[in-house]
Amino acid sequence: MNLAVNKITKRYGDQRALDGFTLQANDFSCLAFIGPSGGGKSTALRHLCGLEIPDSGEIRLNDSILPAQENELLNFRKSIGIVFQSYNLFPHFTALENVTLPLVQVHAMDAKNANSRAMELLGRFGLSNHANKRPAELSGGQSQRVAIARALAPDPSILFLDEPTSALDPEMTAEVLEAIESLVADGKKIVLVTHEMGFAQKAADQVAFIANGKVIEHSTSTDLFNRPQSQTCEKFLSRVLKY
Amino acid sequence: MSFFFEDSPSSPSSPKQAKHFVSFGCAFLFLSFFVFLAFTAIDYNWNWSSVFQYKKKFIDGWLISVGISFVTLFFSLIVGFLAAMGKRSTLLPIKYVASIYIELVRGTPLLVQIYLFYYVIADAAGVDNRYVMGVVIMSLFSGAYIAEIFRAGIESVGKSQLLSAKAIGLSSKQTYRFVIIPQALRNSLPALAGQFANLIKDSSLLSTIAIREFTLNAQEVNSITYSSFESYFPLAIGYLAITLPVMQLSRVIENKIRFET
Ligand SMILES: Nc1ncnc2c1ncn2[C@@H]1O[C@H](COP(=O)(O)OP(=O)(O)OP(=O)(O)O)[C@@H](O)[C@H]1O
Ligand SMILES: [Mg+2]
Repeated sequence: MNLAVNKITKRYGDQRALDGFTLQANDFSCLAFIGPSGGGKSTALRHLCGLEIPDSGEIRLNDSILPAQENELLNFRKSIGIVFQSYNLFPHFTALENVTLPLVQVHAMDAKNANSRAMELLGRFGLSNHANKRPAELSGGQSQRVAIARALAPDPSILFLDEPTSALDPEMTAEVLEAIESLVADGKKIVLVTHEMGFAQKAADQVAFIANGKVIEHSTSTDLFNRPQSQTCEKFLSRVLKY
Repeated sequence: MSFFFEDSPSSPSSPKQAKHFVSFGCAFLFLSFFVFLAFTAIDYNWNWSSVFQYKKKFIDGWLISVGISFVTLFFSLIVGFLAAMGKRSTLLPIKYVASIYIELVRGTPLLVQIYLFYYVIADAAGVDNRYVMGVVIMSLFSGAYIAEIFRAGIESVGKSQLLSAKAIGLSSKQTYRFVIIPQALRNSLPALAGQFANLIKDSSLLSTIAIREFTLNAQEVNSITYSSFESYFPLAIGYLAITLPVMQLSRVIENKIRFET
């Protein structure tokens, strides 16, 4: 998977959330965004997955440019999977219905196939017994695994995750990270924002350090964690790895 | 002493039903006592038997009131839905038509609307069936309140859900259909039941344009039997017979929704 982001900017009022964000990531299987809070990781991710349109600059995924029209972006979003930090699921649907909804309504699958596809994925993440529960009856970790199952169900070419574990306690964090790790092992392409440095080090093959709306540093995870080039990144790592 | 206090969740539960029953009875007797005092003070010659002769008139009126309210509820749900969607429209003229309608109706008394509609608009439009007119007036009136109920219901669906809907590739139409409207409806149910109770009470004002509903019929019985206010008792009871269960239903739905989410 190749990702080329060329000088994208985004302002919210007079706040520059992205300020010439540039990144060239070739042949990655799992790309992790790390960096200080407010640095622009989530904003960057929302642009990469076509949820927002940049003020300027362009984004290419495998050499095709992301469209700048909402109706074409909708088509792009149908081809990828997205998981947020929390509140991904619709509270009035069961876990199973949450997964089948996009299959049937967006991807025109018939109800029977959608059901078996959804049950297959829920089973894969150990959720077979929870298929008929509403989100309010699921733990945070189970909800996130359902959200991942929903994003994966249409077999997207790439999966974007924004801090999928930061709202979870350590045990649930582990179960969700294991699920993500198994996807990487299966060859699913992933871009994720994470505060779990151990996970970024272990599961990601490339890491980008983001601060002040820019990519400050980008390299393989071994290089970035062991030999950070910039001072900001080194400082950030020494602070977060201290505990 | 604790017998007269509501159980806190931690206190050991005493016979709960009995306790509420006795307290309710005391409160009822206490209030009845004042009503009784008021009526003995006016020294009035009661005339129940002649009022009772006209019980069919009460029943017919009651059925008309309930019928008008049900038909009105149906149409005001449609009006309210359209107005709520109109107010969210990005097309500015539509947005303003919806806002002006909602504000005008909510800002003026129903009685004024009934007269204006009856003497001006209905006349100009050549509508002469009073019952049709009554339903139209009440639907437009109630629709504005229901629009606000729906608006609150729609806004209760959080931003994060809208982003999720976008993320899984739902179009904005599909987002309304599968995400916003089902939840907005559900969240609006308690308020809608309350609005239905209001509708039944407010329909009494249709008596002013000679629609033969419950209140008008009661007034007629009063004048036929030369009694002053005996008929107002069955009238009050008739309204309570439907508003109390509806308000109770509203409370039940509210609790159910709260426990489910
Ligand atoms: N919708 C928005 N409206 C206004 N400002 C925003 C919006 N989204 C992001 N910002 C601002 O843009 C900056 C970058 O935010 P972003 O959420 O991308 O940071 P982040 O790196 O994901 O931080 P965190 O690690 O805390 O999630 C912040 O200063 C934030 O306040
Ligand atoms: Mg973020």
